[in-house]
Amino acid sequence: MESIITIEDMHTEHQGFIRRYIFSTDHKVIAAQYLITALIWALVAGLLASIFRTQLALSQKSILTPESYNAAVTMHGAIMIFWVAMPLLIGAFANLCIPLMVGAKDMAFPGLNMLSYWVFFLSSIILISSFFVPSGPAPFGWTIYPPLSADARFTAAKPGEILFLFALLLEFASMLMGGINYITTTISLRTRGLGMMRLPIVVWMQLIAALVFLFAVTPLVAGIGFLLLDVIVGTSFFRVTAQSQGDPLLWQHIFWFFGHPEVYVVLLPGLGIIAEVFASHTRKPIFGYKSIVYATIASAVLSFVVWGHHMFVSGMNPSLSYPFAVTTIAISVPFSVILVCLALTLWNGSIRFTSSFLFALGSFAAFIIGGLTGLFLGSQVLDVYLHDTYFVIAHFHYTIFPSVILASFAGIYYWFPKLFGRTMNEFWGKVHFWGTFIGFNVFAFPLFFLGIAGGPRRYYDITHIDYLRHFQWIHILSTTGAVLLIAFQTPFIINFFVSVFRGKQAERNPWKATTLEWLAESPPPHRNWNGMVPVVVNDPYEYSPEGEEEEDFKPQGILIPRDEVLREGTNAPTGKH
Amino acid sequence: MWPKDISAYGYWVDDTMILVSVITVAVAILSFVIIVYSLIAFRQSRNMQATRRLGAISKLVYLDVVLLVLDIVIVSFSSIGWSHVIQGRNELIKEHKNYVETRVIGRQFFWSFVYPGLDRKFGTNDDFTLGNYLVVPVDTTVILTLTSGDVIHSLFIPNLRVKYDAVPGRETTEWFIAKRVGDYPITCTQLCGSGHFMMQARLKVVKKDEYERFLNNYKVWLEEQNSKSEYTAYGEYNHN
Repeated sequence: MESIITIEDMHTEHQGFIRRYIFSTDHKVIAAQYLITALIWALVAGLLASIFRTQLALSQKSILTPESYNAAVTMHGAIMIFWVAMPLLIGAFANLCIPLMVGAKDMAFPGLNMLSYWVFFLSSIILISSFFVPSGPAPFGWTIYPPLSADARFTAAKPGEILFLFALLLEFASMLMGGINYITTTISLRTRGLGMMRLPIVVWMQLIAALVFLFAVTPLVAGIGFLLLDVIVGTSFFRVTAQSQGDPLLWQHIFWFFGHPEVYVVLLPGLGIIAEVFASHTRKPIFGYKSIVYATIASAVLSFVVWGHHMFVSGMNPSLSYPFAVTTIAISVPFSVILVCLALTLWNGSIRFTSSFLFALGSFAAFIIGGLTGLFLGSQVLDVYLHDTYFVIAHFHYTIFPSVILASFAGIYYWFPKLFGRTMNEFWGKVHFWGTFIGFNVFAFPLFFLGIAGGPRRYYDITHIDYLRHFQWIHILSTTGAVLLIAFQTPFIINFFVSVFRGKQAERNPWKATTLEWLAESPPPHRNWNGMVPVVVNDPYEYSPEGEEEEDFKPQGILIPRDEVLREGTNAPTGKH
Repeated sequence: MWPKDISAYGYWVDDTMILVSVITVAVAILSFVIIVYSLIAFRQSRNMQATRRLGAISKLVYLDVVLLVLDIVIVSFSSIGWSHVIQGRNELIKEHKNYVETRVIGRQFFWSFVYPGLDRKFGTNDDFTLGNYLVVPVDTTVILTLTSGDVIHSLFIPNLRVKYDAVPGRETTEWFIAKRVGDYPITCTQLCGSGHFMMQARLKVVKKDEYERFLNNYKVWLEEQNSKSEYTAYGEYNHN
């Protein structure tokens, strides 16, 4: 019996390099592919940012034209959201975490999973190609507001825009394929004993994020279809011409109906990573597990009815601002529940300050500022003043940067031993953290004040404007921070690649963590469990249990040989496909 | 840093700003004090063994309730301010009170301000258009009717706490009462193309009798202004 299963499990071990590492169906290889692709994109978008921020600081001595500045800003935003945040949190970490943490041998649909990555790769190629067409990439801002984006009379970047929109559609398709896998795997491939209320927080967050994305993206796909028709065929869904009357506001409704849930799609898995790292590094169970789960579900539901706060001054009926202000401010309640629970997890802990924990902590701290400044923008009266100023930029970076970049770094340092079987250097990890964290705050915090001064976003230059001329120092300071931030990624890049090949060999469970992935070898073999089956016997975070114990944690599961599980004759899910 | 408020209802914006600032700064300080204390008190070298019991600190969960109350305060305050702004607008339009109307057309990359002339009616012979120059009387209700000739623009007058999008194919209205004579910036805040950052205009708030003089013969009035001020080159712009 066992030998048959072993042969099945070992099957792909005998496949060639291409099937094992390039067109692989193994969720860990796909996670690594997503991770590395997303990090390369993050570098591209970060370098774009440092170029246009240098332009802003130098103002008169121009290194970019206004048109290329707009294109750089657009591509920075679009890449960071769709080609960095999504593949990192929805691609890499969900792929790595979900099958291991639910005790499955792989995703429910491994072939679809492989397709998901390669469609994403194709979308990346198409997006890159838009940089090299004659009129350059799309320059409309990542929100692609028509009629600026819909009408060739107002802009020259037609080929760049078409490529961008097609790349976006493919990226959505890819993330939907991933999402189907995450939902199915979490719901139906959980191992024995793993009830929904025993799932690690990060899996909950990834599941909810996948569901939110599934519901939110559909209208936008239709919207992009309309926009492409406007651009290519010359229809008038969003265009206003002498003969036809489209509605530019329709796009804003469609875009933000997707756009706001999308922010939560990339934010929730980040919070999940923080929770995992907090629990294992404070040696305490997460405080208020159920509260966090219910709060997350509440925020996910609420995220579908807040989109109007992006449109308070758009020409939408101003009376609609009341309900949207109420829902927007209300969504701070579930988030305050999550944040208070995470803060209380620190209390009475025994905190280990590893690089991973520092990044999780930095993410947590910065996200508090991001969340609180949301209250300014949720208030409709204040939003009229602050809308489309640098205040929005600062707020957005204080929510997205912690939850995407800082949390992903926390996750990379935390799961690197599991993914690559080696450990990253701690000293350089800490150097990386302090440089990144300080650089980020120097970059983003001054921008709040530029926004309060009334400085509009997406301005190529402010030194020719009387009331903003004196605030050029904010741009210079902010650019200094941004350059520092980019520069301090060098230790990470070197540390990452040196550790992949030369790092210290990792044990099975270097952090003495409880969740199921740490039962597997580092790195786990193909199909993860070497013919064993993880069976869940505990809640996910049994750290520092009461009473005398040898270790200060009880693993969530135990590994049982497959035939023993089969002999017990149960139909409970065992991770078989 | 915060531009001077010259608007009759701008205090709603400024007071909400103060209210939300006080609340968020207080909550942020409280959170960071608790977090920094936890990090120092519960680091591994001081606290070898974690304990699950929280004791009195678990009362911190009531912070969520406090935050909920603060949220309700913010949203109520903000909504009262908002109702003040939009009901004022609706009543003005409905009741045809004594107000001054100017039409605003955004184009890549300049603002056209259309004045009705002395008869205060649009579509008559004495209408005239100025590029990038909005002149309004002090202490008088002003209605701006915004639209766009090409893409979406947004008219932002920081000192008046006014911002509204100019959308092609539809008219949006904005109103204000300027309380102080002077010269103020107007800017575009919705990305409208490569010249977006150049799309600047001036607001000139003048005394009521001067406004009459301006409507009566704007050319003479503009020449006077240009000779007095460093801002020149505002002039007639024929948008048709």
